[in-house]
Amino acid sequence: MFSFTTYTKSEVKQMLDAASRTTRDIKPTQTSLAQKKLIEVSKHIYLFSGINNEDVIAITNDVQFMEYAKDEVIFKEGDQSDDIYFLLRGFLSVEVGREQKQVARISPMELFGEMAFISKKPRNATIRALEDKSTVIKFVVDDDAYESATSFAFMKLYKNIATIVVKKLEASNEIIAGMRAEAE
Amino acid sequence: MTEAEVEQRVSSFLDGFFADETAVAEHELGFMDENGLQKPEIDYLKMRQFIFTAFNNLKEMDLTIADGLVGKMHKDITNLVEFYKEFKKKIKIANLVYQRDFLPSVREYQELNDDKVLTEGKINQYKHIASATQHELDEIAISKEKVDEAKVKMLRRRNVDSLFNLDKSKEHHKEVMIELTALEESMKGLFFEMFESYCNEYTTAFEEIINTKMFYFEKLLWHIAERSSGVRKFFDDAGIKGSYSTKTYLNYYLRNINIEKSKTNEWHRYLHSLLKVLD
Repeated sequence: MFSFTTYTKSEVKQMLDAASRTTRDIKPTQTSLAQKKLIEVSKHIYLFSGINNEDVIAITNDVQFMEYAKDEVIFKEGDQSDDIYFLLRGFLSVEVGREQKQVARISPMELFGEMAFISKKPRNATIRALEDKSTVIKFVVDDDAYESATSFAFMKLYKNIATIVVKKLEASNEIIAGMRAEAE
Repeated sequence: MTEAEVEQRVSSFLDGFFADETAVAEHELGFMDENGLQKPEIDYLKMRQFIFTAFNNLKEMDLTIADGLVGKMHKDITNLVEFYKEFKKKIKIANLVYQRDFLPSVREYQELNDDKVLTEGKINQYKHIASATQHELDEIAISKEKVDEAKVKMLRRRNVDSLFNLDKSKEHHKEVMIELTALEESMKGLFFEMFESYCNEYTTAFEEIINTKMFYFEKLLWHIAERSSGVRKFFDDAGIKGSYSTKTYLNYYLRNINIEKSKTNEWHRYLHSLLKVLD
């Protein structure tokens, strides 16, 4: 007697998605200089906390060094992009609104741009270099790699994202509380 | 029986004979239709053997490849292929199906056949009586004892009766056989015509089902494989260039099998024919 196999809606979606994608060219797994640097600094990046080096490489793509001259814009408020940045050298200004008011400063060894990756929304601030030769590592987290063998890494990644979001929320609450206290 | 009656009998028999095939084809084609699965343009059924080889090899590079949906689809397709092979075996014996299964299912044929068997029984019985009585009469004829006239009379009567009935039964058997053969012949043409049509219909259906599932399986397999660090490392170490696909892997595989050994074998010819399909 033939035993029928039934598939869930999500399994069917997985089949259709896989068939609609073109497989990517085989990329050498040789680690680039930018990737080596990313691994080196990953211990300072909370997003990668608990994720081993191999998995960091597996879940990141397009890892590049970028150098900016003074006043050069890294990204603008309203830009749509998933790129995440880690500042290696120099200082950056965080600006909002039409008048480009500086609301914060980014120092070396700080991660930025990760909120757009998490929220998938446009950038909520403009980032500008305050010094010549400001250097960042730019990378993207590979959404397509979710079904890969690095599922444990993704589990850790999302736990870290949740922690980052909670911390940002707490910081915002503190600011709001301070503003209320000032108003009273 | 009219042609319409014969057609109705054959079609009702074949519906029962192919009931499992109908259930599987309906379920699978319904699934494909409901979920918008597209038929591939190239022959994935032909590529099945190599795609399954690639699956086994990829599994050696990373065991987790066979986890989840890929493993489930592999098992599903294997079951479908087995079912299809059984179906192919089943349709090879059409003659036997006609004689052994279909004819006894026709009431008129069964009645005639019962009559034939009964008549054959009677023929044997009359032959036996004729022979036994003749034997007794022969013994009496050579016996030196006093002849029991009444017994001889009775034996002669029984012998004549049995020979008469034997002739009658033989005649009847001949008539039944003519009728049986006529009935058999009258249904044979239509049966084989309809049998072939059912076979073609299910062959097309199963090839389409397996072909489509193979297509989605192959896409999913490479989609998962290209995300596996084990597979990526293997491809990198082996210097494989191209995209993560059956074609890339086939080219690598052909470069690495022992051509001298396999030059004449079926497998090597098969692999080369696949390259043409993929080009």
